Amino acid sequence: MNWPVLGTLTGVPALERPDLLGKPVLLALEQMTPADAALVGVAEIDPALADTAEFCAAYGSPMDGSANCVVVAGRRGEDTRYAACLVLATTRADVNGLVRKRLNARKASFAPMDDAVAITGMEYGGITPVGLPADWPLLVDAAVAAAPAVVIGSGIRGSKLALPGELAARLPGAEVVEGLAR
Amino acid sequence: MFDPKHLDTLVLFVIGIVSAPVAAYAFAHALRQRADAFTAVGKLTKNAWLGITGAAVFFMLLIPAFTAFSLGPFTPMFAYGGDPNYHPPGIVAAFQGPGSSMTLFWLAGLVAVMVYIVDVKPAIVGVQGGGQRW
Repeated sequence: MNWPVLGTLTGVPALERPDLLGKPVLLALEQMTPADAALVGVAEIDPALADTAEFCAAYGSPMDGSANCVVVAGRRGEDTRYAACLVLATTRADVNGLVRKRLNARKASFAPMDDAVAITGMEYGGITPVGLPADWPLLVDAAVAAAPAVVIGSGIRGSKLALPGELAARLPGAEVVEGLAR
Repeated sequence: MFDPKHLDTLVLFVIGIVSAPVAAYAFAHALRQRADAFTAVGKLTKNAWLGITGAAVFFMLLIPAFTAFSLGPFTPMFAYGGDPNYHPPGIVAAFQGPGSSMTLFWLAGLVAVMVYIVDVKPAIVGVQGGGQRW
């Protein structure tokens, strides 16, 4: 298994480098079947280049081969519910439309980064769909699910994961949403 | 001083002065927002709004400046025929003298900036968790 979507980087099976994984990410990978976990690669990067645009430019990875994980907070009265959205880096999530309806919320917004970091246990800039809190829906754009491979965060800024879009669509809590991204 | 019968001129004068900084504010605000906030609330993209508000700033500065300079700041306006002593400020002359046909673009820019400020800005502030301030 190799991960050409990582550009000039060379991926190794993620479970061989637990030092490059955020804690919740490592736990989630360990809970996958070995066959699935073997599809996930990891590569070390410069933490200063963790933002998608900079990562792609620096390591020759295509923008449409990266997926951004956006944490959305939906509010209805006093009740706040979270969801994560996974969309290709070349597109943007329709937060106030589809996501808000899916959360059955009156108001949907990007979760403040401090909240997202505190609740997920992942680093700012490294938030990833692997290892999210169990009660969060993970909305995966159909374009991500159809991608042969996507680059996502690893829970820390110092590395990236690569995995097939099909596997991202099978993560716990995941549902594929047509038209999530614009 | 302004004569009450030139109230329209006074209004135009104030709008002309205020519109450029307001447009510049809208542009600066759009510049500082994260790009996916615009899509998140179903508006045009960040780049589209930067283009729109940027063009608005351009016309709001260009049209009054161009026309005021071409007329001189205190040119008596033939629009007020019969009142040869009336001297409107240059920025008002911009709306009335030669070159005033460009006022169309100025007006379009003003409308676009207003749309940004009353519609787009509250939505993208809200989607970033900064609502409830209004």
